[in-house]
Amino acid sequence: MVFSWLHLAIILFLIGGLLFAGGPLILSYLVAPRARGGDMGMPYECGMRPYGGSWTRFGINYYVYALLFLAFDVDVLYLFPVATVYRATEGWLPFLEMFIFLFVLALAIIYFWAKGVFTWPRKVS
Amino acid sequence: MENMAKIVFGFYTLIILGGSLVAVGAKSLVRAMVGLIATLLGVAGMYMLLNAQFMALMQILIYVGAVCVLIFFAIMLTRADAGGEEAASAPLRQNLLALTAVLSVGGILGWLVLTRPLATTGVPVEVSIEKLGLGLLGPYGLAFELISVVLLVSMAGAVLLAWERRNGK
Repeated sequence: MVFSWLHLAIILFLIGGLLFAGGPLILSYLVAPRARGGDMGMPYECGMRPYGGSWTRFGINYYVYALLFLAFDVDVLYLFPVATVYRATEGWLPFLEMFIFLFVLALAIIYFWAKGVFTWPRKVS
Repeated sequence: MENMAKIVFGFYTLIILGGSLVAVGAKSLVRAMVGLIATLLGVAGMYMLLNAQFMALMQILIYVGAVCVLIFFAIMLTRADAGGEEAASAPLRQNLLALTAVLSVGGILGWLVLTRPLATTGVPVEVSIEKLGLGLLGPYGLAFELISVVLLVSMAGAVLLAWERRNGK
């Protein structure tokens, strides 16, 4: 196992982030006045009473965007190492390999464009 | 630093085990997913201990960033709120079968690792991003190109399956 100073720094920053997020919660728990009953559990204490549950269901259309995001995220995994060494490479072969990789991905985007994925639906079902 | 690594290893193990217990046992699916995110973050920490910083980064970027968003969308497509029809607990037999599956796979893997240790280095060797990139451009060039084709097929398949239905409605 390897433990570097970078790793320690990451852990310290994570702890810092947790404190930054959790500190106000703990502080308000300690300092804030207690109140019970009434509409305390409601999203809004005044105004209209909400109708139905808070668990709304999305249309399946959004799922496609999440899937596309996932696929392009995986692209980054492979593009990132290649992009870091691209500066140090010589000749046309790396350019060609990179070009084919990006060209195939561009084909995907063109396909979605033609399919109408990028046009926002007027009525989201 | 060596002792520190052991402490951090224990810390990540606790995060992974605790997160997975929350993921399996939580009543609300959204809370279960928070447990899953904790588990995946713990695995990213394990990658850091294995001296694979790039893998750790990508673990967070892809699994915590993208896969969890995808699972969240999937959860929001279901009717799994606390009183919903999919919130009922599984029967005992199903739980026992799931436990058997986990124990058999984990048991076999653990037994193999414990009885047949591989000849390996004591300290993990760092493979730099440059080395990975040169490998993808050089000896693994064909695999690099095929990855883009596989991703194209997966994306096109997703759109083909999910997008037609809206127009059909």
